[in-house]
Amino acid sequence: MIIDTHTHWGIVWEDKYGTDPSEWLKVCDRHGVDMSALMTHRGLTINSDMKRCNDIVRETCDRSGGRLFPLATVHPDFGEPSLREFERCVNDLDMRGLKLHPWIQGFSTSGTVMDELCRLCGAFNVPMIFHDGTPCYSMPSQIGGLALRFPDTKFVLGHAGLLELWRSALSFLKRCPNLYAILCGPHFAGMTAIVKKIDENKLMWGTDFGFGWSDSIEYRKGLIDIIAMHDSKRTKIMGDNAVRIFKLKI
Amino acid sequence: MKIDCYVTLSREKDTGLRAGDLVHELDLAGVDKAVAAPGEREMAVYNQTGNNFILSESRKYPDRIIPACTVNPWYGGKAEEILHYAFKHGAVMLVLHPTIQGFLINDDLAIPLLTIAQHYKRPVYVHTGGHLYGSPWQLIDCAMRFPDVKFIMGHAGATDFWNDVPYAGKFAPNVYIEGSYARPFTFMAHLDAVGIDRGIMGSAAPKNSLVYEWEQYQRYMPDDTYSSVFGANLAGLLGINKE
Repeated sequence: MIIDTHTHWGIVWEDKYGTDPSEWLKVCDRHGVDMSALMTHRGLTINSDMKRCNDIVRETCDRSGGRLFPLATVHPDFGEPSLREFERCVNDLDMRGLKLHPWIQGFSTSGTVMDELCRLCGAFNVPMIFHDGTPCYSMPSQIGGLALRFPDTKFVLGHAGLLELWRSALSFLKRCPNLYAILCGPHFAGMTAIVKKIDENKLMWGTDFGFGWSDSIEYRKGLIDIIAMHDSKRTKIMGDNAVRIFKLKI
Repeated sequence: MKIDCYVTLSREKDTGLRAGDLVHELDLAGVDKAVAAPGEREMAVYNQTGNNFILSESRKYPDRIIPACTVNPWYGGKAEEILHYAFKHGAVMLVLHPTIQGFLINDDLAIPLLTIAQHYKRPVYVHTGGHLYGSPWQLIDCAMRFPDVKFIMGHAGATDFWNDVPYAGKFAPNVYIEGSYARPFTFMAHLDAVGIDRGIMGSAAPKNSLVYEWEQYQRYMPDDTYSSVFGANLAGLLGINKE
Protein backbone atom coordinates (compact mmCIF):
# COMPACT_ATOMS: atom_id res chain seq x y z
CA MET A 1 0.00 0.00 0.00
CA ILE A 2 1.59 3.25 -1.15
CA ILE A 3 -0.02 6.45 0.11
CA ASP A 4 1.05 9.86 -1.07
CA THR A 5 0.23 12.12 1.87
CA HIS A 6 0.92 15.45 0.20
CA THR A 7 -0.93 16.31 -3.01
CA HIS A 8 -3.07 19.18 -4.22
CA TRP A 9 -6.07 19.47 -6.48
CA GLY A 10 -4.22 22.06 -8.47
CA ILE A 11 -5.87 25.10 -9.94
CA VAL A 12 -4.90 23.98 -13.43
CA TRP A 13 -6.47 20.58 -12.83
CA GLU A 14 -9.61 22.07 -11.34
CA ASP A 15 -10.00 24.52 -14.20
CA LYS A 16 -9.70 21.79 -16.78
CA TYR A 17 -11.41 18.84 -15.11
CA GLY A 18 -13.68 20.32 -12.47
CA THR A 19 -13.98 17.57 -9.89
CA ASP A 20 -13.10 14.64 -12.14
CA PRO A 21 -9.80 13.10 -10.97
CA SER A 22 -9.59 10.43 -13.69
CA GLU A 23 -6.58 11.90 -15.49
CA TRP A 24 -4.93 12.82 -12.21
CA LEU A 25 -5.25 9.23 -11.01
CA LYS A 26 -3.66 7.91 -14.19
CA VAL A 27 -0.42 9.59 -13.10
CA CYS A 28 -0.71 7.85 -9.74
CA ASP A 29 -1.30 4.56 -11.53
CA ARG A 30 1.89 4.98 -13.53
CA HIS A 31 3.86 5.10 -10.30
CA GLY A 32 1.96 2.53 -8.28
CA VAL A 33 0.47 5.01 -5.84
CA ASP A 34 -2.63 3.50 -4.29
CA MET A 35 -4.05 6.43 -2.34
CA SER A 36 -3.40 10.12 -1.90
CA ALA A 37 -4.27 12.79 0.62
CA LEU A 38 -5.87 15.56 -1.42
CA MET A 39 -5.61 19.19 -0.42
CA THR A 40 -6.92 22.26 -2.11
CA HIS A 41 -4.76 24.60 -4.13
CA ARG A 42 -7.16 27.37 -5.01
CA GLY A 43 -8.40 27.39 -1.42
CA LEU A 44 -4.99 28.55 -0.25
CA THR A 45 -5.38 31.83 -2.11
CA ILE A 46 -6.87 34.72 -0.21
CA ASN A 47 -9.65 35.50 -2.68
CA SER A 48 -10.96 31.97 -2.74
CA ASP A 49 -14.26 30.84 -1.30
CA MET A 50 -13.01 28.45 1.36
CA LYS A 51 -16.32 26.62 1.68
CA ARG A 52 -16.57 26.11 -2.05
CA CYS A 53 -12.95 24.94 -2.23
CA ASN A 54 -13.45 22.41 0.54
CA ASP A 55 -16.58 21.14 -1.20
CA ILE A 56 -14.61 20.72 -4.43
CA VAL A 57 -11.94 18.68 -2.68
CA ARG A 58 -14.63 16.51 -1.08
CA GLU A 59 -16.42 15.97 -4.37
CA THR A 60 -13.18 15.17 -6.19
CA CYS A 61 -12.40 12.53 -3.58
CA ASP A 62 -15.92 11.13 -3.88
CA ARG A 63 -15.31 10.56 -7.57
CA SER A 64 -12.00 8.75 -7.03
CA GLY A 65 -13.30 5.32 -6.13
CA GLY A 66 -11.74 5.54 -2.71
CA ARG A 67 -8.30 6.48 -4.00
CA LEU A 68 -8.31 10.02 -2.58
CA PHE A 69 -9.10 11.23 0.91
CA PRO A 70 -9.69 14.91 1.66
CA LEU A 71 -8.00 17.42 3.90
CA ALA A 72 -9.66 20.72 4.73
CA THR A 73 -8.29 24.21 4.72
CA VAL A 74 -9.45 27.48 6.24
CA HIS A 75 -8.05 30.99 6.56
CA PRO A 76 -7.34 31.76 10.23
CA ASP A 77 -7.39 35.48 9.53
CA PHE A 78 -11.09 35.18 8.66
CA GLY A 79 -11.73 34.59 12.36
CA GLU A 80 -14.79 32.83 13.72
CA PRO A 81 -16.11 31.69 10.31
CA SER A 82 -12.89 29.72 9.86
CA LEU A 83 -13.57 27.74 13.01
CA ARG A 84 -17.13 26.96 11.96
CA GLU A 85 -15.98 25.97 8.48
CA PHE A 86 -13.42 23.59 9.89
CA GLU A 87 -16.06 22.01 12.12
CA ARG A 88 -18.25 21.56 9.04
CA CYS A 89 -15.37 19.94 7.16
CA VAL A 90 -14.85 17.37 9.89
CA ASN A 91 -18.46 16.76 10.93
CA ASP A 92 -20.23 16.98 7.57
CA LEU A 93 -17.55 16.31 4.97
CA ASP A 94 -15.54 13.70 6.90
CA MET A 95 -12.28 15.42 6.08
CA ARG A 96 -9.27 13.78 7.66
CA GLY A 97 -7.14 16.71 8.68
CA LEU A 98 -6.52 20.42 8.33
CA LYS A 99 -3.97 21.73 5.86
CA LEU A 100 -2.52 25.18 6.47
CA HIS A 101 0.02 27.05 4.37
CA PRO A 102 1.01 30.09 6.44
CA TRP A 103 3.39 31.35 3.75
CA ILE A 104 0.91 31.40 0.86
CA GLN A 105 -2.10 32.12 3.05
CA GLY A 106 -0.17 34.90 4.75
CA PHE A 107 -0.78 34.45 8.44
CA SER A 108 1.26 33.85 11.55
CA THR A 109 1.06 30.62 13.48
CA SER A 110 0.83 32.75 16.61
CA GLY A 111 -2.70 33.99 17.14
CA THR A 112 -5.95 33.29 18.92
CA VAL A 113 -7.74 31.70 15.95
CA MET A 114 -4.73 29.48 15.34
CA ASP A 115 -4.83 28.45 18.98
CA GLU A 116 -8.48 27.52 18.67
CA LEU A 117 -7.84 25.53 15.48
CA CYS A 118 -5.11 23.64 17.28
CA ARG A 119 -7.50 22.81 20.11
CA LEU A 120 -10.21 21.75 17.67
CA CYS A 121 -7.86 19.42 15.82
CA GLY A 122 -6.90 17.88 19.13
CA ALA A 123 -10.53 17.48 20.12
CA PHE A 124 -11.41 15.91 16.76
CA ASN A 125 -8.22 13.86 16.83
CA VAL A 126 -7.33 14.88 13.30
CA PRO A 127 -3.84 16.06 12.31
CA MET A 128 -2.81 19.56 11.25
CA ILE A 129 -0.62 19.50 8.18
CA PHE A 130 1.55 22.55 7.59
CA HIS A 131 3.63 23.75 4.74
CA ASP A 132 7.03 24.11 6.37
CA GLY A 133 10.58 25.04 5.56
CA THR A 134 9.88 28.65 4.66
CA PRO A 135 10.37 31.80 6.73
CA CYS A 136 8.87 33.81 8.13
CA TYR A 137 5.63 32.00 8.98
CA SER A 138 6.31 28.38 8.07
CA MET A 139 9.49 27.36 9.79
CA PRO A 140 9.70 23.92 11.41
CA SER A 141 10.53 25.61 14.70
CA GLN A 142 7.27 27.55 14.55
CA ILE A 143 5.26 24.41 13.89
CA GLY A 144 7.32 22.70 16.57
CA GLY A 145 6.38 25.53 18.91
CA LEU A 146 2.73 24.75 18.32
CA ALA A 147 3.45 21.11 19.04
CA LEU A 148 4.99 22.08 22.37
CA ARG A 149 2.06 24.32 23.26
CA PHE A 150 -0.64 21.84 22.21
CA PRO A 151 0.60 18.39 23.21
CA ASP A 152 -2.78 16.76 22.60
CA THR A 153 -2.80 17.71 18.90
CA LYS A 154 -0.97 15.97 16.09
CA PHE A 155 1.09 18.31 13.91
CA VAL A 156 2.63 17.30 10.60
CA LEU A 157 5.52 19.03 8.88
CA GLY A 158 4.43 18.82 5.26
CA HIS A 159 7.96 19.12 3.91
CA ALA A 160 10.22 17.98 6.77
CA GLY A 161 12.03 21.32 6.67
CA LEU A 162 12.72 21.43 2.91
CA LEU A 163 16.33 22.01 1.85
CA GLU A 164 17.37 24.67 4.33
CA LEU A 165 15.68 23.76 7.62
CA TRP A 166 15.56 19.98 7.72
CA ARG A 167 18.03 19.95 10.60
CA SER A 168 15.65 22.10 12.61
CA ALA A 169 12.81 19.78 11.65
CA LEU A 170 14.87 16.84 12.80
CA SER A 171 15.52 18.41 16.18
CA PHE A 172 11.86 19.19 16.82
CA LEU A 173 10.80 15.77 15.57
CA LYS A 174 13.03 14.29 18.25
CA ARG A 175 11.68 16.60 20.92
CA CYS A 176 7.93 16.48 20.23
CA PRO A 177 6.09 13.14 20.34
CA ASN A 178 3.09 14.80 18.67
CA LEU A 179 5.09 16.13 15.71
CA TYR A 180 5.19 14.11 12.48
CA ALA A 181 6.74 14.72 9.08
CA ILE A 182 6.13 14.04 5.42
CA LEU A 183 9.29 13.26 3.50
CA CYS A 184 8.76 15.68 0.65
CA GLY A 185 11.41 18.30 0.14
CA PRO A 186 14.78 17.66 1.80
CA HIS A 187 17.62 16.38 -0.35
CA PHE A 188 18.86 12.81 -0.23
CA ALA A 189 21.23 13.39 2.69
CA GLY A 190 18.59 15.19 4.74
CA MET A 191 15.98 12.53 4.16
CA THR A 192 18.49 9.82 4.96
CA ALA A 193 19.31 11.49 8.28
CA ILE A 194 15.64 11.88 9.19
CA VAL A 195 14.84 8.28 8.32
CA LYS A 196 17.80 7.13 10.36
CA LYS A 197 17.22 9.26 13.46
CA ILE A 198 13.45 9.72 13.81
CA ASP A 199 10.88 7.27 15.13
CA GLU A 200 9.69 5.35 12.07
CA ASN A 201 6.10 5.68 13.25
CA LYS A 202 6.21 9.45 12.75
CA LEU A 203 7.21 9.62 9.11
CA MET A 204 5.17 9.56 5.92
CA TRP A 205 5.92 10.09 2.24
CA GLY A 206 4.57 12.69 -0.18
CA THR A 207 5.17 14.43 -3.49
CA ASP A 208 3.33 17.76 -3.68
CA PHE A 209 1.86 16.41 -6.91
CA GLY A 210 -0.87 18.50 -8.52
CA PHE A 211 0.36 22.05 -8.03
CA GLY A 212 0.89 22.22 -11.79
CA TRP A 213 0.97 19.77 -14.65
CA SER A 214 4.41 18.40 -13.97
CA ASP A 215 4.79 14.88 -12.67
CA SER A 216 6.65 15.20 -9.39
CA ILE A 217 5.81 11.68 -8.30
CA GLU A 218 8.43 9.92 -10.38
CA TYR A 219 11.35 11.86 -8.95
CA ARG A 220 10.14 11.76 -5.35
CA LYS A 221 9.13 8.12 -5.47
CA GLY A 222 12.52 7.27 -6.91
CA LEU A 223 14.26 9.31 -4.25
CA ILE A 224 12.62 7.54 -1.31
CA ASP A 225 13.25 4.22 -3.04
CA ILE A 226 17.03 4.73 -2.99
CA ILE A 227 17.16 5.65 0.70
CA ALA A 228 18.34 2.62 2.58
CA MET A 229 16.01 1.36 5.29
CA HIS A 230 14.57 -1.87 6.59
CA ASP A 231 11.53 -3.16 4.72
CA SER A 232 9.32 -2.87 7.78
CA LYS A 233 10.25 0.79 8.17
CA ARG A 234 9.62 1.45 4.49
CA THR A 235 6.19 -0.15 4.72
CA LYS A 236 5.27 2.20 7.54
CA ILE A 237 6.59 5.33 5.84
CA MET A 238 5.07 4.54 2.47
CA GLY A 239 1.60 3.78 3.74
CA ASP A 240 0.90 2.18 7.09
CA ASN A 241 1.60 5.31 9.13
CA ALA A 242 -0.79 7.30 6.98
CA VAL A 243 -3.53 4.74 7.55
CA ARG A 244 -3.10 5.19 11.30
CA ILE A 245 -2.60 8.96 11.41
CA PHE A 246 -5.47 9.78 9.04
CA LYS A 247 -7.66 6.95 10.38
CA LEU A 248 -8.24 5.55 6.91
CA LYS A 249 -10.64 2.70 6.36
CA ILE A 250 -8.78 0.28 4.11
CA MET B 1 30.95 15.45 -22.90
CA LYS B 2 28.94 15.37 -19.69
CA ILE B 3 30.07 17.53 -16.79
CA ASP B 4 28.59 17.78 -13.32
CA CYS B 5 28.83 21.40 -12.28
CA TYR B 6 28.66 20.96 -8.55
CA VAL B 7 29.87 18.33 -6.13
CA THR B 8 31.66 18.73 -2.82
CA LEU B 9 34.62 16.76 -1.54
CA SER B 10 35.35 16.72 2.17
CA ARG B 11 36.26 14.54 5.11
CA GLU B 12 32.99 15.20 6.95
CA LYS B 13 31.44 12.21 8.64
CA ASP B 14 27.94 12.40 7.18
CA THR B 15 28.45 14.32 3.96
CA GLY B 16 32.01 13.44 3.15
CA LEU B 17 33.17 12.28 -0.26
CA ARG B 18 36.64 11.50 -1.54
CA ALA B 19 38.01 11.60 -5.05
CA GLY B 20 38.00 7.86 -5.63
CA ASP B 21 34.38 7.50 -4.61
CA LEU B 22 33.39 10.47 -6.75
CA VAL B 23 35.02 8.97 -9.83
CA HIS B 24 33.25 5.70 -9.15
CA GLU B 25 29.93 7.58 -9.05
CA LEU B 26 30.80 9.40 -12.26
CA ASP B 27 31.50 6.08 -13.92
CA LEU B 28 28.19 4.65 -12.79
CA ALA B 29 26.35 7.70 -14.08
CA GLY B 30 28.22 7.89 -17.37
CA VAL B 31 29.48 11.37 -16.59
CA ASP B 32 32.90 12.48 -17.79
CA LYS B 33 33.87 15.14 -15.30
CA ALA B 34 32.74 16.98 -12.20
CA VAL B 35 33.61 20.34 -10.73
CA ALA B 36 34.44 19.85 -7.06
CA ALA B 37 34.29 22.40 -4.27
CA PRO B 38 34.99 22.20 -0.53
CA GLY B 39 32.28 21.03 1.86
CA GLU B 40 30.24 23.24 4.15
CA ARG B 41 32.69 23.56 7.04
CA GLU B 42 35.49 24.62 4.75
CA MET B 43 33.09 26.83 2.86
CA ALA B 44 32.42 28.79 6.06
CA VAL B 45 35.86 28.63 7.67
CA TYR B 46 39.23 27.02 6.97
CA ASN B 47 38.91 28.04 3.30
CA GLN B 48 42.59 27.52 2.55
CA THR B 49 42.51 24.01 3.99
CA GLY B 50 39.44 23.19 1.94
CA ASN B 51 40.84 24.59 -1.27
CA ASN B 52 44.10 22.73 -0.82
CA PHE B 53 42.19 19.53 -0.20
CA ILE B 54 40.24 19.99 -3.44
CA LEU B 55 43.40 20.70 -5.41
CA SER B 56 45.02 17.63 -3.90
CA GLU B 57 42.06 15.36 -4.60
CA SER B 58 41.65 16.63 -8.15
CA ARG B 59 45.30 15.88 -8.93
CA LYS B 60 44.57 12.20 -8.33
CA TYR B 61 42.13 12.24 -11.28
CA PRO B 62 43.07 15.25 -13.37
CA ASP B 63 40.93 14.12 -16.30
CA ARG B 64 37.83 13.65 -14.16
CA ILE B 65 37.82 16.18 -11.33
CA ILE B 66 37.93 19.90 -12.00
CA PRO B 67 38.90 21.91 -8.91
CA ALA B 68 36.86 24.85 -7.71
CA CYS B 69 37.66 26.98 -4.70
CA THR B 70 35.89 29.06 -2.13
CA VAL B 71 36.66 31.93 0.17
CA ASN B 72 34.64 33.76 2.77
CA PRO B 73 34.59 37.50 2.00
CA TRP B 74 34.49 38.37 5.69
CA TYR B 75 38.19 37.47 5.82
CA GLY B 76 38.90 40.64 3.86
CA GLY B 77 42.45 40.95 2.56
CA LYS B 78 43.24 37.44 3.71
CA ALA B 79 40.36 36.19 1.56
CA GLU B 80 41.84 37.90 -1.46
CA GLU B 81 45.20 36.23 -0.83
CA ILE B 82 43.55 32.82 -0.54
CA LEU B 83 41.65 33.35 -3.77
CA HIS B 84 44.73 34.45 -5.72
CA TYR B 85 46.56 31.39 -4.45
CA ALA B 86 43.76 29.00 -5.42
CA PHE B 87 43.42 30.40 -8.94
CA LYS B 88 47.16 30.37 -9.49
CA HIS B 89 47.31 26.73 -8.40
CA GLY B 90 44.60 25.43 -10.68
CA ALA B 91 41.16 26.28 -9.33
CA VAL B 92 38.91 27.12 -12.25
CA MET B 93 35.76 28.36 -10.53
CA LEU B 94 34.95 30.41 -7.45
CA VAL B 95 32.12 29.12 -5.28
CA LEU B 96 30.36 31.52 -2.95
CA HIS B 97 27.74 30.44 -0.47
CA PRO B 98 26.12 33.61 0.93
CA THR B 99 23.95 31.69 3.38
CA ILE B 100 26.73 29.70 4.98
CA GLN B 101 29.29 32.46 4.64
CA GLY B 102 26.86 35.06 5.94
CA PHE B 103 26.90 37.86 3.40
CA LEU B 104 24.86 39.39 0.61
CA ILE B 105 26.13 38.72 -2.88
CA ASN B 106 25.04 42.21 -3.94
CA ASP B 107 26.80 43.89 -1.03
CA ASP B 108 30.08 45.73 -1.50
CA LEU B 109 31.78 43.15 0.69
CA ALA B 110 31.88 40.76 -2.26
CA ILE B 111 33.36 43.23 -4.75
CA PRO B 112 37.06 42.48 -4.18
CA LEU B 113 36.52 38.76 -4.73
CA LEU B 114 34.44 39.27 -7.84
CA THR B 115 37.05 41.66 -9.18
CA ILE B 116 39.66 38.95 -8.77
CA ALA B 117 37.44 36.40 -10.51
CA GLN B 118 36.99 38.86 -13.34
CA HIS B 119 40.75 39.34 -13.59
CA TYR B 120 41.36 35.59 -13.89
CA LYS B 121 38.31 35.16 -16.16
CA ARG B 122 36.87 32.53 -13.84
CA PRO B 123 33.14 31.85 -13.48
CA VAL B 124 31.51 32.33 -10.11
CA TYR B 125 29.06 29.79 -8.75
CA VAL B 126 26.69 31.33 -6.21
CA HIS B 127 24.41 29.24 -4.04
CA THR B 128 20.83 30.50 -4.13
CA GLY B 129 17.68 29.41 -2.34
CA GLY B 130 18.61 30.40 1.20
CA HIS B 131 15.92 32.72 2.43
CA LEU B 132 17.90 35.76 3.52
CA TYR B 133 20.99 35.51 1.38
CA GLY B 134 19.87 33.38 -1.55
CA SER B 135 17.44 35.40 -3.61
CA PRO B 136 17.96 35.06 -7.38
CA TRP B 137 17.38 38.79 -7.70
CA GLN B 138 20.29 39.51 -5.35
CA LEU B 139 22.49 37.58 -7.74
CA ILE B 140 21.05 39.37 -10.76
CA ASP B 141 21.80 42.71 -9.11
CA CYS B 142 25.38 41.59 -8.54
CA ALA B 143 25.71 40.20 -12.08
CA MET B 144 24.54 43.48 -13.55
CA ARG B 145 27.38 45.20 -11.70
CA PHE B 146 29.85 42.68 -13.15
CA PRO B 147 28.67 42.10 -16.72
CA ASP B 148 32.00 40.61 -17.73
CA VAL B 149 31.86 37.88 -15.09
CA LYS B 150 29.97 34.68 -15.80
CA PHE B 151 27.80 33.67 -12.84
CA ILE B 152 26.14 30.37 -12.19
CA MET B 153 22.92 30.52 -10.16
CA GLY B 154 23.43 27.44 -8.01
CA HIS B 155 20.24 25.46 -7.31
CA ALA B 156 18.11 27.87 -9.34
CA GLY B 157 16.66 29.41 -6.21
CA ALA B 158 15.34 26.09 -4.91
CA THR B 159 13.19 25.63 -3.04
CA ASP B 160 11.15 28.76 -2.43
CA PHE B 161 12.48 31.19 -5.04
CA TRP B 162 11.59 28.97 -7.97
CA ASN B 163 8.99 31.43 -9.17
CA ASP B 164 11.53 34.27 -9.37
CA VAL B 165 13.91 32.45 -11.68
CA PRO B 166 12.05 32.76 -15.02
CA TYR B 167 11.84 36.52 -14.54
CA ALA B 168 15.16 37.22 -12.87
CA GLY B 169 17.02 34.94 -15.24
CA LYS B 170 16.18 37.12 -18.22
CA PHE B 171 17.75 40.23 -16.76
CA ALA B 172 21.40 39.30 -16.86
CA PRO B 173 22.69 37.30 -19.83
CA ASN B 174 25.86 36.53 -17.88
CA VAL B 175 23.93 34.39 -15.39
CA TYR B 176 23.56 30.67 -16.03
CA ILE B 177 21.04 28.53 -14.21
CA GLU B 178 22.23 25.39 -12.41
CA GLY B 179 19.54 22.87 -11.58
CA SER B 180 20.60 20.80 -8.57
CA TYR B 181 17.85 20.75 -5.91
CA ALA B 182 15.48 22.38 -8.41
CA ARG B 183 14.32 18.92 -9.48
CA PRO B 184 14.01 18.16 -13.18
CA PHE B 185 10.34 19.03 -13.54
CA THR B 186 10.98 22.58 -12.31
CA PHE B 187 14.37 23.02 -13.96
CA MET B 188 12.86 22.35 -17.38
CA ALA B 189 10.40 25.19 -16.90
CA HIS B 190 13.25 27.53 -15.98
CA LEU B 191 15.09 26.62 -19.16
CA ASP B 192 12.00 27.23 -21.22
CA ALA B 193 12.07 30.78 -19.89
CA VAL B 194 15.77 31.66 -19.93
CA GLY B 195 16.96 29.40 -22.74
CA ILE B 196 18.66 26.05 -22.94
CA ASP B 197 21.97 27.72 -23.73
CA ARG B 198 22.05 29.03 -20.17
CA GLY B 199 21.19 25.80 -18.38
CA ILE B 200 23.78 23.79 -16.48
CA MET B 201 23.47 20.37 -14.88
CA GLY B 202 24.73 19.75 -11.36
CA SER B 203 24.03 17.01 -8.87
CA ALA B 204 25.04 18.61 -5.55
CA ALA B 205 26.48 15.27 -4.54
CA PRO B 206 26.96 13.90 -1.97
CA LYS B 207 23.95 15.64 -0.46
CA ASN B 208 22.17 14.25 -3.47
CA SER B 209 22.89 10.93 -5.09
CA LEU B 210 24.94 11.77 -8.18
CA VAL B 211 23.80 8.67 -10.05
CA TYR B 212 20.13 9.20 -9.25
CA GLU B 213 20.15 12.89 -10.14
CA TRP B 214 21.77 12.30 -13.51
CA GLU B 215 19.45 9.44 -14.30
CA GLN B 216 16.39 11.50 -13.42
CA TYR B 217 17.39 14.73 -15.18
CA GLN B 218 18.32 12.87 -18.35
CA ARG B 219 15.04 11.00 -18.24
CA TYR B 220 13.02 14.19 -18.03
CA MET B 221 15.27 16.15 -20.38
CA PRO B 222 16.01 14.24 -23.59
CA ASP B 223 19.58 14.49 -24.72
CA ASP B 224 18.74 15.50 -28.27
CA THR B 225 17.25 18.73 -26.96
CA TYR B 226 19.13 19.36 -23.75
CA SER B 227 22.60 17.99 -24.49
CA SER B 228 24.22 21.38 -24.03
CA VAL B 229 22.80 21.56 -20.51
CA PHE B 230 24.62 18.37 -19.61
CA GLY B 231 28.05 19.58 -20.57
CA ALA B 232 28.70 21.99 -23.40
CA ASN B 233 27.39 25.12 -21.70
CA LEU B 234 29.61 24.57 -18.68
CA ALA B 235 32.56 23.53 -20.81
CA GLY B 236 32.28 26.86 -22.55
CA LEU B 237 32.40 28.71 -19.25
CA LEU B 238 35.37 26.73 -18.03
CA GLY B 239 37.21 26.95 -21.33
CA ILE B 240 37.65 23.24 -21.71
CA ASN B 241 37.30 21.07 -24.79
CA LYS B 242 33.61 20.36 -25.31
CA GLU B 243 34.18 17.00 -27.01
